[in-house]
Amino acid sequence: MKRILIIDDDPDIVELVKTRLQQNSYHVICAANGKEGLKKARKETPDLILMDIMMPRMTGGDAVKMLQDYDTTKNIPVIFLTAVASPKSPTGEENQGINVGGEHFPALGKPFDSEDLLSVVRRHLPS
Amino acid sequence: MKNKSRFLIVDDDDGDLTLMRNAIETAGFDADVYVAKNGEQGVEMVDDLKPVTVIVDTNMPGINGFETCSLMKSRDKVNIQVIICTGVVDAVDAGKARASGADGYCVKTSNYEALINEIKSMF
Amino acid sequence: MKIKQPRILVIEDNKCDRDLLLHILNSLETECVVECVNSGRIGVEHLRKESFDLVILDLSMQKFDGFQVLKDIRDAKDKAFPVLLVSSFTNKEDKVQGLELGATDCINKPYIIEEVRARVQIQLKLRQILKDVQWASEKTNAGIKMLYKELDKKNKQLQEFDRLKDEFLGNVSHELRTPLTIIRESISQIVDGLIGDVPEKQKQYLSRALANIDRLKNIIDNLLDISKIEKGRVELYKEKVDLVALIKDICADFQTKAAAQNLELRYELPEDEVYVLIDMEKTIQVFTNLIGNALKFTKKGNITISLKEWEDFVQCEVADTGMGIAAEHLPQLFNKFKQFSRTHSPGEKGTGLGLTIAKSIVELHGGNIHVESREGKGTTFIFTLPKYCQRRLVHEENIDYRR
Repeated sequence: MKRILIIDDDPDIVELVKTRLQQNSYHVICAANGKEGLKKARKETPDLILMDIMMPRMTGGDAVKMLQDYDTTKNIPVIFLTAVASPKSPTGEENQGINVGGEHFPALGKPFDSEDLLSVVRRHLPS
Repeated sequence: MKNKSRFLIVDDDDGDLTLMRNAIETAGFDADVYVAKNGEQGVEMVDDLKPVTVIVDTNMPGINGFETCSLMKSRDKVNIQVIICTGVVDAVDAGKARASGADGYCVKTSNYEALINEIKSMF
Repeated sequence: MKIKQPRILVIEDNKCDRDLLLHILNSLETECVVECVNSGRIGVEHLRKESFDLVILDLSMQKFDGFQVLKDIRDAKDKAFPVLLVSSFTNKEDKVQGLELGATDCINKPYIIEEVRARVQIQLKLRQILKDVQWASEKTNAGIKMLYKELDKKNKQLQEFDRLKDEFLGNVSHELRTPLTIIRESISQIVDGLIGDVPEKQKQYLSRALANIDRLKNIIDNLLDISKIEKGRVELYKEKVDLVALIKDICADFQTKAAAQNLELRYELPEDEVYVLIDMEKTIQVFTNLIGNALKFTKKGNITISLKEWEDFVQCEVADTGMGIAAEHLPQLFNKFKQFSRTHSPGEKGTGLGLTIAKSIVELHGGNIHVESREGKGTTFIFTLPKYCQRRLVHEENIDYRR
């Protein structure tokens, strides 16, 4: 069972994403901020990280840098959840992603379609 | 005993009147400020107020600013100082102002800085 | 401010002449201040140090060359400065020479009192007129300067308000998206049965709510886009893209939607690749908006995307067989918030800003867009994009845009 870590400072979002992902047979780990998220990432090495890009105290950009500092976490694929309009393909199924700190990351714009969420997760999980 | 300076503002626009009065009062001149709503009224008041600095709007119903200035200056050139104030700066009007005997001519800006500068340059 | 009396300098070495002149000057209408000197040299010195409105100079002084004094005066003062030359002018050429050297007028001796008075008055009057003009000019300039200052201040204020507005828009949009996400996902999970069984009727209602959340989202996206593009805040991330492949994939993405409306979505493209230097994501948005528009207003028939290649640019067309647009609406088509159909189909996404955004993006690339339409027949949007692919490339990458 693939394990996904969701980091978002809004507990409602975390709960909704968790329910959706669990329904689709993923094991979900939750974190409410960057610091907690990093801790859990290091401890539990999830297969994929879903992260809100704008969080108080630590931005997504900082978090990503810190993930890359650790061997155990630097290869975990990261998908950003963004409330800033993210570019979408015509029918919104595939996200082109955003640039964070000079690197390109896949992104999911809020509000997202559940199909989008699942398909982008599927696509970026290591097989 | 130091006398307070006296100002008379002649303008048909209530808004401008209030703002100019405010500007003068907050500019630090120790002054009494009087108002008149039109040229004729201003000319009537000026004899009792002198020595006085009069600020006249160019564009008023009845006698305009230039005519008002001429009339006032014909009463007393020295003790009645006149500044003609306009919303639109115009070289020809400036000439007219001078010809009517005005001591100053300035544009109305939103904070009336030009007016205060003109007053200061005259004292 | 004191009214300044005119100051007259008399340079005359003959006492009688001087006294007569003084008498005349003191009887003038305009009250003057008169200074007398009997030396040309001292006179010029005074002129340099103090301010005078008129000089009366005796040409025939014994110890001084009047013409030299005249020259010196002219050197010390501006061209228009009044100098009255007095002399018996027995030598007629003296008068001409005097005037040529810069005297503004000449008076013959012996003095005719009325004449002296008149000529002096004229000089004073001219001097006064000049000063009046200078005064008016200075005041006008000062006024203009103040107005510039005011303008500058207001501009800065406007820029600041503009910036605040953008910041506000950004914040608001951010704030709106999170609750929207929660609402959307909550409803979506109920509709999908994740929270328990849902009767059909309730499912329908909830689905309608979902569709409208998507509408809201589109509006927010469009508003933000419009504001960013109009600000000129948007930078194009240019890359080399094969437009043929791009269009094919965009069409593939829209197939299901088109099929659902019983419309044929097709393309007419060149056989080979057509490379252009464009911002791919934004160009996709242009096509999305135009095709979306076509889908909105076409009930039957087809939508055709075509691409023609020219030497320096490409021309794309999105043509539909829809209801068309009335001629009187065409000029306003790319204007914000213009809607032409009052009937909204359920779940229809649209704000009317799509065309404006498309136009902005096309023009940002340096292209043009226009529309041709006939009511009842259909509408065609035509836009061009410069190719620039053989010349200065931002970065050379053969990207297959399918990631």
